[in-house]
Amino acid sequence: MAAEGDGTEARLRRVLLEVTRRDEVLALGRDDDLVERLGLDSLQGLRVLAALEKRFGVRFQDERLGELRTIARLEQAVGADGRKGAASQ
Amino acid sequence: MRIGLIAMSGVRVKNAELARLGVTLPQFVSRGRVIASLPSLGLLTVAGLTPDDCDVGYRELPELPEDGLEPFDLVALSSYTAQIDEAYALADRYRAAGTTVVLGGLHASLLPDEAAEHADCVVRYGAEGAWPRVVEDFRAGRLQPRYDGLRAGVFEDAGYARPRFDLLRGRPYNRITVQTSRGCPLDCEFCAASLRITSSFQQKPVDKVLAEISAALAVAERPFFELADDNTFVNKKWGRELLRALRPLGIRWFTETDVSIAEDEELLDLLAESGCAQVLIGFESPDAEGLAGLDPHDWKRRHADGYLRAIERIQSRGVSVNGCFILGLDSHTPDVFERVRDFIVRSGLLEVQITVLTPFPGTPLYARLAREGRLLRERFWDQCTLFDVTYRPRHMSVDELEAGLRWLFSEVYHEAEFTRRKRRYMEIVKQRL
Repeated sequence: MAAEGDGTEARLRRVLLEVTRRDEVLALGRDDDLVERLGLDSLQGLRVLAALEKRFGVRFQDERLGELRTIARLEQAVGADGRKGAASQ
Repeated sequence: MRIGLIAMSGVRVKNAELARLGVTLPQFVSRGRVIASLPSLGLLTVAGLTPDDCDVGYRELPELPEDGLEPFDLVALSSYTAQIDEAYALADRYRAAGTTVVLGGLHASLLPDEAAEHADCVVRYGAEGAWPRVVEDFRAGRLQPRYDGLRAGVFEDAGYARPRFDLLRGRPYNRITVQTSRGCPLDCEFCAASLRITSSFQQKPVDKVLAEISAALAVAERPFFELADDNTFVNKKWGRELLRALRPLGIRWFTETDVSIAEDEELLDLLAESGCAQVLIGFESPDAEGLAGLDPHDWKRRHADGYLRAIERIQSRGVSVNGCFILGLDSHTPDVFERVRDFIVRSGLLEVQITVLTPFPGTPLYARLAREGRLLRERFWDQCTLFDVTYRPRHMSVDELEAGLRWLFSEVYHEAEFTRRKRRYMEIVKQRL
């Protein structure tokens, strides 16, 4: 579960770690609910999504923002190359 | 001696149509499975003021046994106006069982004679300066019917005690309140908050605030802090000192303030750096005309022209503004609902709280509306929910005010509007990354 490496999941975890400053990010399962596990308030959740959009160069679909609560879903949303999935440019 | 401190919680709208719309006090913290209420800071403070040799039990109303009463030697109750009748009913049950009951808090302070019908003793104003005497006198068998706590100097060492946050250990709270000030110099006519139990604005020394936060962090895992203040940054120098002290703690927090913080660039930067997630600001009405006479110095009217710029400056730091609007002010005509909606859209406010003007007992507003014969009933405490209309508005009918509120709720709180606000916040955050 380390945030090392250049893969999408590792990059996701690095952004999560940077925004939330919670070491638990490293131990999160792919399907764990980020909001529940990290105890994020709604604004922190939006800060995470904003940071991911900026770092991955994507724009998540507004109507799907509420669904992006797990590593697996975020990975799908940013796409394998960070520019696919539930995001649009 | 066993003392029971019982907190009432959960205010629900009485108007059936608004209730069906799901209207409740706005909340923005994602709470997951934790309970929806905040702990009673007042009663935790009472616990802190209690002599160490007493056994103190802190209870929330839903925790009480459905049948029977948990045995205590002395019971202290505190409640918001909207739930005061439930508090009185519980007090009556305890007294019928032979237990001595003390009532305190804002409502009991403002209507002590009413409270005295349901209690052996009423404490007015702060618990500081009163509660230790209550306990001492009760033990000595000389409890008095009325005690007045401090209205000034409440945070000075002589009267101060740190709230017993340890009593929250094991409870599923993810929000904890800490008070840094009591009172507000603006003195708005409608205000039913701590201004009514203080003689002047009281500010807690920063080292005491930090000690309280530290005590709360020892019992709760990463709580979100809500400052139980009515206007935190009246003194900007003190405010900057507080924010510098909060900065290294890594906490997330919320408070209420007036719009003048937007004029202090350094304070705004410190707000963001110290983990402030949101500030709640009472704009009350979207334009200056609507604010005339709201406070004795027309402070809000004089600042209304700067509202939009203030919101932009605060939110540009990534700190969201929860803008509060009160509908049904004497200046409001039926077109106010559309004007509030338009202001909200134009302003880019990330959170909005819409309430109806409420003449809480003991406020100048209540006295004036009673004098003018405009209260729908003399006693309507269970309708003091901030969503129920309890008086005759000046420039519209009660029906028009209720219908306007329903329309505004549907305009402001629907899903697409929430999504638009979320997206706006994300774009602000992205600009700062």
